[in-house]
Amino acid sequence: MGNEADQLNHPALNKKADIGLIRSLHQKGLLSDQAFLSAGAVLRPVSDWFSWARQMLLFLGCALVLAGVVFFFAYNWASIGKFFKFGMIEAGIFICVIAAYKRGRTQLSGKVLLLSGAVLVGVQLAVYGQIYQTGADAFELFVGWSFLILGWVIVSEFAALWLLWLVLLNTGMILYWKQVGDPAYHMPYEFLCLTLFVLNGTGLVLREAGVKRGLEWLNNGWLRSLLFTPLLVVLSIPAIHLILEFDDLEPVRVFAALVWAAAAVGGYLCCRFKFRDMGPLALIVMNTCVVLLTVIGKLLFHGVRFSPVYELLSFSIIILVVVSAAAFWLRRTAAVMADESWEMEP
Amino acid sequence: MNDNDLTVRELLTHPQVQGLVNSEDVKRLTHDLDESEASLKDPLYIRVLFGTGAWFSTFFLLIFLAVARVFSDSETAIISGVIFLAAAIYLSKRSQSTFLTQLSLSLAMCGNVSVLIGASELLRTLEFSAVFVAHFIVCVAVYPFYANSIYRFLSPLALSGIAAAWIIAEEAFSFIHLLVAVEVFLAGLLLLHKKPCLFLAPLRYASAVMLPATILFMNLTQVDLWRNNFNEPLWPSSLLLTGSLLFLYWYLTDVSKRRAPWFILTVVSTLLLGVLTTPGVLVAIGLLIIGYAFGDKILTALSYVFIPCFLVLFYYALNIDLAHKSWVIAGSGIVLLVVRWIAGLCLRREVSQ
Repeated sequence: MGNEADQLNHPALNKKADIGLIRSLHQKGLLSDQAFLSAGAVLRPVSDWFSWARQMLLFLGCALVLAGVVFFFAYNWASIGKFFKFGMIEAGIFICVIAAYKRGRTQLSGKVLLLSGAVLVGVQLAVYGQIYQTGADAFELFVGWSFLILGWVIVSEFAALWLLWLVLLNTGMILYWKQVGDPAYHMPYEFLCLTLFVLNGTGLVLREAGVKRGLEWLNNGWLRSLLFTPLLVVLSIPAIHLILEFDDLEPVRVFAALVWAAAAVGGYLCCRFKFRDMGPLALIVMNTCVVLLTVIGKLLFHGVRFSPVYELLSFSIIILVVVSAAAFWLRRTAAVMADESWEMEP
Repeated sequence: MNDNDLTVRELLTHPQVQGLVNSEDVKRLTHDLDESEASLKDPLYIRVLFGTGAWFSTFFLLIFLAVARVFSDSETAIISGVIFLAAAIYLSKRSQSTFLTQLSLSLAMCGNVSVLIGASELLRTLEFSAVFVAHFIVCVAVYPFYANSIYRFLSPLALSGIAAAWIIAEEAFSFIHLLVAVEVFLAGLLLLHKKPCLFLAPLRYASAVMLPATILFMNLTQVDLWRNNFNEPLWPSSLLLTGSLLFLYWYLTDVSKRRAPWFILTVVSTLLLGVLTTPGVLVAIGLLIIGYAFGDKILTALSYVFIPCFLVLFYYALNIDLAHKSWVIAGSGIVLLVVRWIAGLCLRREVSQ
């Protein structure tokens, strides 16, 4: 009896039990069939399945209905009158918003209904442009859409709606540069990259501030990594361009590359010591590998006078060395952070 | 929806579990948990980094081999490929160091591609049939000996991709349903096996990815850039996937619960979806259910990524007109929302009992 009690006190049993773990134990023959089924029923009772099923049915059902609506209006069915088309969409927006109000902001179904209403606003603008052929540029649709739904986004307390809003703004800016900025004002693409960096960076900073203030609806682990990705990608493009065309030192490109370097270093320090989050750390390291390999590739293929055959072989091995070093660094960092977390626990 | 916040200790001492686990089981279980803490496998981002790095390295290595005229002769290409594969297997058994693991992966990928190029040249054809057969032989021969999860994941997946490309190239579109059938069977066999071995774990994930990949590929061929006359009806795949979903429900549900109203509702709504919807929606539902049932976040994430990709490609596919597509997709969504509503109205009380 004493021995059994000692066994149950082993620190390895402090691990969180989840379905994946008990399946693994069962597969290894460490849990009998009966014990596995009972443990599964304890961890995942029918009520959990029911809640999950209702949530998934809501997400998937709404996504498919909204997609169907978008497809339908994209078809531009000529036999439907324009006022009927407007009426249908506006009725849809009205129903979604009223239903969201009735359900309340705290209910998931309320939030999803508000998101659906926000998507239908975009459909309305697209149908308007389709019917009246205003000649407006596409960026105006996205910027106008994000402006019109801003109020709902603010009150929704729903990370997915904020993400949609951010995607719309990003799309609007990219289209603005493509349709107006570059053709009319010869705006260099580096300005676009810097603008997108500021936009997404602001989103990330606001998200962190919100989490610090206790806004639980922002506290999804994946959101930080998702917001970090465009920050790194948009600025690494001018950085890579600068490396590849080092003779052509545009000031704005140099500035963008310096901002990338600062963002990478600052982001690494924040994620390592403040947030202690491996996801964005790994993204930063991978992004840095890409830029570093660009530098090495440039030096190897244009700087050093080797036979092209050996340059290719050398670069192939250099890629492995750089990636291996990055993986080693990430493993080591993860282990150190895990030890620090263990020491910090009461 | 998250698993209750219990530790392993709390679970083992739970009244429903306690009598079913003896002290010997606890001892072995503890030992296993202790060992697995010490030898944690790499997280996903490390494996993505490895896989991506190895791919790029393989790319430059292949160009090097092409420039060095290794591929000019089919025998040389095949022999080099076999040597690279053997070297990869040797390195993987010799050392677990990060660099050598990466190098072995790159050599394995390079060797695999070299053999395929050599086989095509030997048979004097660039037809997919030759590439498919060559890759099948390499995959079957190397998988048991080369213990790298990334290669074991990518190699079968590539086989499925080559098969899909072969079907499209030959315009034998009815065979796409046969491919879907094989993938469904393989996924079912590997994912639902009561005690699958670790050896087949990467193949298990590859089989889970093959299905959505094939569906996406099917839609991709119908985009304006790359259009074939794919006038094949989709109902055979829909029928097959509906049957698989019904089997999945049957497998996951206890015998005593198979006459419960919620089970009947699930079966009826799936049959209705099978009639209404497109295979992509059924695959998404299957992945979501398996991901939740097995606590597998990778499969769940795969379904979340698959759904928007599928909807975008489905939108641009030209084999069905947009009006019909809108009814199919919106109709499927309505069925799901109605099921949710019925479940909320009628089943909440029963479930809470």
